[in-house]
Amino acid sequence: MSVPDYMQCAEDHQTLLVVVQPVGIVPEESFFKIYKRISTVSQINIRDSQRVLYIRYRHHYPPENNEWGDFQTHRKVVGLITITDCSSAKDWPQTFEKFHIQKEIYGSTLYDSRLFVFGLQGDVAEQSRTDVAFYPSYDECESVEKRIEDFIESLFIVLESKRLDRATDKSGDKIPLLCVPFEKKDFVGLDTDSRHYKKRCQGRMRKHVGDLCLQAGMLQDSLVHYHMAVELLRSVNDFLWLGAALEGLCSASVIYHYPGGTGGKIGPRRAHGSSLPAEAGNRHRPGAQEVLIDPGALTSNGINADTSTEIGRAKNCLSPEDIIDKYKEAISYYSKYKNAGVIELEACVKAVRVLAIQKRSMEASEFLQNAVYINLRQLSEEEKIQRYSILSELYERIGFHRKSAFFKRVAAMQCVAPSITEPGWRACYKLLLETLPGYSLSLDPKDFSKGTHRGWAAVQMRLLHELVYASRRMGNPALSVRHLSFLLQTMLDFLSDQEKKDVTQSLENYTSKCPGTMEFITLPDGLKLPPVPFTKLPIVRSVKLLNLPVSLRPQKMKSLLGQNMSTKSPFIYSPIIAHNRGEERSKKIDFQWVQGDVCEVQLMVYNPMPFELRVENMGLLTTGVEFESLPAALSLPAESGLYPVTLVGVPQSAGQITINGYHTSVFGVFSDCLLDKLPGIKTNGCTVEVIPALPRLQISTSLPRSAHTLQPSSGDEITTNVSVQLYNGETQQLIIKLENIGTEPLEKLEVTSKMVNTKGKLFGDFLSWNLEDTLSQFPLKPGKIATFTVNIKVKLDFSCQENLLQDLNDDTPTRVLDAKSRFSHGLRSPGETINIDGSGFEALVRYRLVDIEVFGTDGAIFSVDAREEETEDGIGI
Amino acid sequence: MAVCIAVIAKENYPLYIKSTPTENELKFHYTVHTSLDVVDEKISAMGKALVDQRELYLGLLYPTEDYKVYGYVTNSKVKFVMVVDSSNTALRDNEIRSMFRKLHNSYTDVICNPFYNPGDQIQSRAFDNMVTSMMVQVC
Repeated sequence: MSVPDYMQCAEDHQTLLVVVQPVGIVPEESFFKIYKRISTVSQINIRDSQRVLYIRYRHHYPPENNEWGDFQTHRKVVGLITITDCSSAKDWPQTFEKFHIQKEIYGSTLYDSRLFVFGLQGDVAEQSRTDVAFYPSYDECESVEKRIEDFIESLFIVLESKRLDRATDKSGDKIPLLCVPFEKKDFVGLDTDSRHYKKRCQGRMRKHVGDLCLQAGMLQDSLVHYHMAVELLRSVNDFLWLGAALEGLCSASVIYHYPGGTGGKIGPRRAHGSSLPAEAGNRHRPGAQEVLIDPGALTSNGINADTSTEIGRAKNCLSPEDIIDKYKEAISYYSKYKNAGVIELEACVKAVRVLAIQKRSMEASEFLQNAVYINLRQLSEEEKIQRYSILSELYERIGFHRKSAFFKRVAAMQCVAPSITEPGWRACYKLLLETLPGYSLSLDPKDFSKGTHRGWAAVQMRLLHELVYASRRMGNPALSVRHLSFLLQTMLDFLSDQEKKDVTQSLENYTSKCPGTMEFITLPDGLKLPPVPFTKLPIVRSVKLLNLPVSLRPQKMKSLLGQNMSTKSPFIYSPIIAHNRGEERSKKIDFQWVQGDVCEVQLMVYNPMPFELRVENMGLLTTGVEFESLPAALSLPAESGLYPVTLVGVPQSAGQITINGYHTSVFGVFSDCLLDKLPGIKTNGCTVEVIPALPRLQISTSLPRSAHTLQPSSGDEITTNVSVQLYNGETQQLIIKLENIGTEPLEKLEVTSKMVNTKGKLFGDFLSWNLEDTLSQFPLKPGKIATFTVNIKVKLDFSCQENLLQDLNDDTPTRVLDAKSRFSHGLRSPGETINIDGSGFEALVRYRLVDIEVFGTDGAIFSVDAREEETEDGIGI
Repeated sequence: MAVCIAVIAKENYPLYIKSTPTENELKFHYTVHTSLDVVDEKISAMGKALVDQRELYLGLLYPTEDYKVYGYVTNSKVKFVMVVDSSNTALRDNEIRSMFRKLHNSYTDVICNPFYNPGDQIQSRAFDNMVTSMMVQVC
């Protein structure tokens, strides 16, 4: 006996083993279709009694396990169902011959057998035989279940006769000695007449009868037999069989206590039960109830007198605690025999299943711990995998998730052991995925975004590395990229510098073949791997939306209708509205962006990596108005401090725009990082209003620029200084070129002039102009140029002021020309640009053309500084 | 003496883990991690007992081929796990107990540090020295 059945559970002791096998060429699909139908007949109510037979079907059973059938009868193949495909009558004899050969394999133990022939029609198929059934095809075989039921009943008859036979011949002179295969040679030459030997024979036979009773659905009887067997075998120190008797006792008690089963495969059993007649209700307590309901039935079945006295009482049944003690005892006996390793292992598994039901995890873990150390012969790799998987499953069942994950991982590693010629990377990967919950690891980066990561980093990292490797060997680079990105993103704090380098190196290798994306990856088994954005490469500390440069800021024009229009409510004061406005304002930014202008967002980032980080294609993610993001590429030095990065873009329409995040491409992985998912980020608000496009006006003059500024310009105005030197009485024309460099037409222009320094005594119009000529060119189409001429005429009166010249030397009489452009919609001005807004705003700009200096006496020199100045006259919305 | 000593937070993540440098560190991570199953089980079983009567020492969690794993849980559910070489038979239950008590005292000192946030990794040098001394000391 070398192949353990890890799925075995205590209630399997009451089942009859039936092997279903194909003979000849049977399509696998068809075979399993029939096998499935056969398997549904897993319990049968015996006619005229309330006993129930349970059947265990196998499509594969090693014949060497069958040799242990005397030791535990549920290991014995008692029924054989052969399925065959036979299309013509002339193949029939051959097929039938094969059936007989098949029967030979399990021949010694078979009670009965059946042959199901599919596809044969005609004369041969007409013959009626009990052991052969003919069906025209795999789809037309309605009577299969009925056939099976008949077959089971015939098995029962044999079982019952064997049971009665064995149970009653205890008075007979010679009881044969039952033994397991490896014992046979030990008994050669033993004195068969000794009391000791006889007792041994009796004990073993008693145990055997117990097994048969259990299979025949007579639970109470089996308990009695087992008890007697235990006593007999204990007295002769027949440990292996004593263990078996104890285990039988345990199994019977488990069946009594836990009618629902311990194997967790109650489903099909119950489901079938419901399809049977209604009296099936009490089927789950076989034996016990039968005894209470119909004690006569048992006596008539002819159990010897000493057992019948016990009938009707449950006292033979072990208590739940005793079951475990007895299991322990049985296992300790089994462990004395090296050849009974499989029996011991299976007993451990069965005991664990019972303990799992009893919710006694600690004891269960002890059994499992023992099972780990049971050394079977050299296991094949496949068997090792099976063994570790089952250990994992059992640990899971008793709630030891970590231990379960550990063994599952071992099983996964076993799938790809170097000794295997064809490593099963797929299986390995699948098993590894199943271990994730045990290591409290989810593959969703969202679960890691809250604060610092807390977990078993070393262990989790190992697992992730294995996932990466397995997915790579599976030939799924997208998966490895995803896992590797996840590793880098979530475990960054735990990676050493060298590891960081290695991980990024391999990530770059993978992404060169398959770039990382932001799409979900769906695995064949339905698991979805969410995308992993690199929010830590680089780490963003603050996001700040920047106002437009001063010259490009929109200004509000004074509306003719005045203030009334700006308040939406007819009421003068309402506290509620005021409050609401405050709230809104806190989220919204108090400046506007302009459609078609380049708008900027400043990010403070730093690079946590010990090497230079190249971030490519970094741009803004927005919602609201259409936004053309202009991506940037940057290179951050190793372990940089905070580093400002400006991301730019152009809004393409007017409305509200919200900056949601940014996208990057690092190591070939594209990530979309949303700001609200980032921890510890500072922003000044992310929603800003975009107003419709404004025109731009560029102003240039014919005069040379002045070397010095006359007035220091305050922050909110833009000036250009030009200068001209004139003699008294001289006139000069100043040509101001107005060019519309925007896309909207310019509509209004206003010009004013102002003397900044009025100390000089000037007569008349120092500056004069004719606006009409210029205005006739308005509205100024995009790209068009208009000119505006200013006449400068210097007239100084030296007559009355003696110290005038002195003054003139000290001081500069200054005059300002304010060119005020007014447009129907409004405008704003950069130093030399004006924009128009189309939304009912008005903006006001003044161009200050300046300023005259007078030097010397004979032929005074005037210096005219043309200065353009813009004043903010905007009115709050 | 001890080959690995770990402090595990209430939420079952490690606050501190140190093993003898000669051995494979990851192996002990696995050992301690899986031992938490047993700790959890023992704690949930103890939950029924009165709190003040509770024994903090959990005893042997499980034996492996080469090591024995012992556990201890404070009233605030911080767990101490100690892995001991199973060849070291001189080590009795009482010694293990006293080692855990020492560890607990030292942990209390760490917690008393106003600059330590409960739940953070333990970086105290005093604690580290104490653990190191427990790992080398031969008794």
